[in-house]
Amino acid sequence: MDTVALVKSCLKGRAQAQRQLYEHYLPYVLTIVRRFGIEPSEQQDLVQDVFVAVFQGLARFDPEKGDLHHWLRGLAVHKTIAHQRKAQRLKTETLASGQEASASITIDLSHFDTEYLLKLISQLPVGARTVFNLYAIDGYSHQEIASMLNISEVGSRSQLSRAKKLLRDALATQKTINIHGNI
Amino acid sequence: MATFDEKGGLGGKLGQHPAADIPAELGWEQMGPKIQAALAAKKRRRLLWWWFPSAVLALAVVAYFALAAEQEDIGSLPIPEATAHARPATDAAARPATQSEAQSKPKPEPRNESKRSAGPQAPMATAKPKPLIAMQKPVTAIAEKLPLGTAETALAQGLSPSVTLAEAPGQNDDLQGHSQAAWPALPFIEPLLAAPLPSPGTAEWAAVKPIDPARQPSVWMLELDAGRSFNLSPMGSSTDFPNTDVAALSGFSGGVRVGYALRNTPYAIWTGAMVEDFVQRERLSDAFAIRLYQPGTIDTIFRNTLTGAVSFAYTDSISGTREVRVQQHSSLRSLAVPLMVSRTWAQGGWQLAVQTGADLQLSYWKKGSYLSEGYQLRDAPSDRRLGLAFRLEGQILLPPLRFGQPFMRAAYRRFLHQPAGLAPGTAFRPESVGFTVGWRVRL
Repeated sequence: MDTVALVKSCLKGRAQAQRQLYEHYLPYVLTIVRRFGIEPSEQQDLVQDVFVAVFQGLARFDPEKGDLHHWLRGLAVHKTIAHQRKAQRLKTETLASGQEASASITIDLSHFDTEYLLKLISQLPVGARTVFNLYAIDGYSHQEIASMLNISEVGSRSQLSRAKKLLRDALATQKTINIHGNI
Repeated sequence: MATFDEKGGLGGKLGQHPAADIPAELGWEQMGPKIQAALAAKKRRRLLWWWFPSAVLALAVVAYFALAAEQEDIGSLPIPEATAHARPATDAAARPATQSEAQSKPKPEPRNESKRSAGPQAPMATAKPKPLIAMQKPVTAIAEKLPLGTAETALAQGLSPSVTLAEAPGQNDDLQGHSQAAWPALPFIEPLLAAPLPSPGTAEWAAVKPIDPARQPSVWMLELDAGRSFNLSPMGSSTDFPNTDVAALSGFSGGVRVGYALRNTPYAIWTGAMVEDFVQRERLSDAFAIRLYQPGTIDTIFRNTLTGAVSFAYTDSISGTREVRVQQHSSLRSLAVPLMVSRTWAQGGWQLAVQTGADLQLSYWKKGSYLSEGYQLRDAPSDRRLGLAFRLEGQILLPPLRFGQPFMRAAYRRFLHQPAGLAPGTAFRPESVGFTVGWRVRL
């Protein structure tokens, strides 16, 4: 797929190009929306908001600065955060009060089933889940996360530790069952 | 190694992962119209934000020129020629031509002996220019206070007739007496900076302007109007249901207003009560897949890839289609109490008025029903909201008749809150335009 040509066609308002872009990137956007724990009943509205923002902001997309997938992923993450903030799910007191986890060994998740991991992540508490997603998957620093969520860096680290602890516990349970991979 | 202990450690494994199961409601057939409708609404909103400051700017320019014109009328009055020449002529040649000459002349005996004997603290005449007491007084006012012929002399010397009177004992007596004895007081008359001025001989009277019908004595007014309004909702077709046609939201608009025209200005203040009643007609005509009940239907065929054996699964339903036609009406009604300011221009008995202001709006959706996902008909509860709206109107008033003045009005109204109800919140455009005719009576 020629991304530049597709973007140009979308900017001209061609419905066929918009459809092609939508259908190509919808699975990725849906993954982001799901791993941030958005309820199925709200996914439709959020996906619509994301793609409206995408089609509206395509003029600002610069192919020389990165690929469309990366740009769209960043936009989807920001829209999802904004959606959660609007729904008042991201409250400062909730986000700032994570519990510290004890240090433990690094876990290799390469062999775990991706869908299973996404499901585990989506089941985390909202604060821990959001910070974990932004840090471990989307690659934002604690400073950036603190700025995005309007919390302190300490709060961000605390939530990350909490998320890791909860995930380790969940994965340790699965280790005994040994159906989704090895720790 | 994919690990969550590093920043972005799971980016490769989870960040690039596409979802495998896409719900049917997220298909382009469902989402495409919604996305395009939302894009069109945002585009229109952007245009609106261009329109709004443009309108404000235009109003500001009109107001500026209107006010500036009024100030010019006051400030550009020339010296009435009759005022300068009606008094007895004086011997201009006998007067000192310049201030220095005046200063060189012996000072006259002060007439006010009581002030002279009051000691050094009493105000005394001095040749030194004192701080200016009154700057740039209107020349007509000065001319009346000056000794006879002073204004002519100053004008003949090319000086500005706007002069400053310094404090001098006995000066007022001299001025009021119109006596030649006032001439020694000239050193205290300090000309200001010279400015070009028409000579007294060519000074013209101010043109007498015809009375502007728009500027009238303060008066109360009553207006009644009625007409039709149209909501500017972008829904040509429903954003939620692709096969649903939504007719334009339109209906009755009318009201009564009371206005107060400010005295001798073209401005007036208005308030009153207005009603808008929109009706929305929604028609759905669609054929969609359903599963009808039918016993003993083969639902799935299983084939054993090793033995080649075929088996069947039976269910009690089969696929089919159903034609659906639904038509429903819902209404949005709003009661508004406006507070507006109007500006009127008049020409040949006709008047053009522009008015703007804010409404206190009570709006509500009348209880109706709507189609939800899955084509289920659901009740929409009545929704009442109190909020503000912005209003901008243009009005043409015909020449007055025996019992009043007919007029035509075009109005634009935008809710500053979002009325909710039948239409999805983001799809409903809280703007309307109205066209009404009415009658104005002066009380």
